[in-house]
Amino acid sequence: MKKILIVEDEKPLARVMSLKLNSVGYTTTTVFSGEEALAIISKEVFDLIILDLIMPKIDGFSILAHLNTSGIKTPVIVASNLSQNEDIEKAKKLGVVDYFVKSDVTLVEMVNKVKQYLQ
Amino acid sequence: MFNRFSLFTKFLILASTLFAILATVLILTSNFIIKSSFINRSKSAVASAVSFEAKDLQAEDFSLTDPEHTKEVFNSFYERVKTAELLRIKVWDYSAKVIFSDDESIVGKRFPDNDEFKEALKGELVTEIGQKTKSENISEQDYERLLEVYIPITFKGENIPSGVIEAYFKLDNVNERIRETRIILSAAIVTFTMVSFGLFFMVFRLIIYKQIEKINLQAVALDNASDHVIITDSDGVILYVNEAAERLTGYSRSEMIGNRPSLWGKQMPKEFYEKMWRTIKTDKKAFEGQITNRRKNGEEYAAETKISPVLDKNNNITFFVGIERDITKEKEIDRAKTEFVSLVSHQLSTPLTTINWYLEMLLSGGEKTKLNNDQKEYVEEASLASKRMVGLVNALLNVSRIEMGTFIVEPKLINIAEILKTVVSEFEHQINEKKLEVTQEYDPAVPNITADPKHLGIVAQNLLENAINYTPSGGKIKVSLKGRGSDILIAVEDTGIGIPKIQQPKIFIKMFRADNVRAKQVNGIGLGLYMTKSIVDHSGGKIWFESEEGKGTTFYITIPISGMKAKEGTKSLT
Repeated sequence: MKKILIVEDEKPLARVMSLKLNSVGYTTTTVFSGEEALAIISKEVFDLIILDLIMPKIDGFSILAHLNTSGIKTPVIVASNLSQNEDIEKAKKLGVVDYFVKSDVTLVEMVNKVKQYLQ
Repeated sequence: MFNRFSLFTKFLILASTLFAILATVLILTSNFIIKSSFINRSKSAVASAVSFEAKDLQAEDFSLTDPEHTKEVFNSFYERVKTAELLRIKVWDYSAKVIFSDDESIVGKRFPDNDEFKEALKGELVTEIGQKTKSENISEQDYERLLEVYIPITFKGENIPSGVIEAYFKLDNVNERIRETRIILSAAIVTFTMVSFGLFFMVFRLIIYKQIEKINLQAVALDNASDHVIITDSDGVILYVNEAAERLTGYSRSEMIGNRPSLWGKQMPKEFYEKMWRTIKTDKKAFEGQITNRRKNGEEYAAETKISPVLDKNNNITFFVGIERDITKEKEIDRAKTEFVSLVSHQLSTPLTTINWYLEMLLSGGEKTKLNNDQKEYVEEASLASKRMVGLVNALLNVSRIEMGTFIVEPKLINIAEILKTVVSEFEHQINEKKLEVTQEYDPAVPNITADPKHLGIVAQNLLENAINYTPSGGKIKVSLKGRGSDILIAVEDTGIGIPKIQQPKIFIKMFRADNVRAKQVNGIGLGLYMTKSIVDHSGGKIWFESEEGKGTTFYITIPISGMKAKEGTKSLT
């Protein structure tokens, strides 16, 4: 069973992603803030991280920077509503494998993206 | 050229100087003419008086055998011509020997080298002024005021002169008259010049003053322009700065004049300045760009700058004119606007995503959320509306990016027909629902061109969406592509409700919606065509349409075969 970490401060969104991913057979852990995310990735190993960018205090970019400096190689998919090129470029520079704008994709499309990186 | 004197004042100073020079020249010339004419007159008066008295002289009077007789004759002659002005008289015989003089010490002496005598002996009347040597027995102050006349004497019955009478006269009286005449004439000249200057000034005021005033007015406008304006010489040394330049840079006029613009510049990379100098100095063209400068207080500011070389007839640079506009505030506003748009779109998108995804869960749900048909239909409606909302948020974002000019154009080599086909297939559901007959006609001869596929997609989507929305069920739509000169022509033709003639000119205006469209209550906010036109305009293409209300509309777009121009920016359209 592949383990996915969902980092999303919008609780209903985190829940629906988790529900959908569980329904197709993945194990998910959900955290609602940057702080919790940093805490859990230092303890547990995941196969994939779905990461929101805009969060209070520690945001997604900081988490990506932390992953880089601490050498954690877990693939990260960014799920954000930031659609500006500069944000996408910034995230890609920090090593994310995929980036999608939440409002532009359906849950099914989201699942397909996840599957792509967990083959 | 750029000091505080007004042009008008300067012109007047110049004109009065010219008039003063003219008056001086006139006075000097008249003085010369007066002097020579008075001297000439007294010279001829003296000559005729002496000649008159000498006319009865006989050759015998020179008889050397009887010096007493000679002396008597000439004494009597001397008595006749003697006046208060006569200082000296000499009578020469042909051998240059003085045979008579009131100064007895020179009688009997020969002066063979006297040029005036030689000249006079040929029959000429010779005159000279103030040339006497001190050896002559005459007081010193009289030297300068002497008129010396050599008068040839021809005895009765002879043809050529046999002697010369030399006479010196004081010119005091003549000089006095010359002085008086000069004063009167100079006064007349000064008066004349002043009157002429007065007249000139009046004419000048009437005819030229207005022109000068206009130039002055322009200078005032330049001084008070809200943009920073400086003028430098061809080496970049500042000659003029306006008030805005003082305000913008924080340096005073006196600190800037004589200095160089690097006083507040130097903040940009070396290459920037190299390019700038190349443009204005080598290519002799205007340079435009955004530049960061530093005020006197150390604060940096962003400016839109334009530097133009001023060329003379021979195409040499004489001046540079530099204009700067402080865009720091605009940049801040721009940034604030971008941040606002990004924030709003993010804040709107998050709840919309939640709605969309939960509705999706409901519709795709397993046993736990199994919906009956009515429920399913209602949820589908809600889902559609919510998706439209996402589209709207994206459209608003795109419009703001277009307006801020921050969107990127990333041209790639693309096959336009493929893009059009994809867009048509995206609308398959709506086309089938409305039972529309859609035909596609793509000329295979159309080459692949470099264009931004995203932009072309947005353009095609908007046009096709309009055609579908505004064509009643069972209508026809035709999408076509062909070459047209140096362009590629895309046409979307429908048999829809058309655009009312009177509203056709407004169709590309943001938020504009035609009356017949409002009446039908078709969804839309009037951004599609505005956005489409903006994109087409940016890519160097054209957009236009033909429409008849009730019959249909055809939209045409051309894109140059040479392709879209790349544009750097920060945001791509979605």
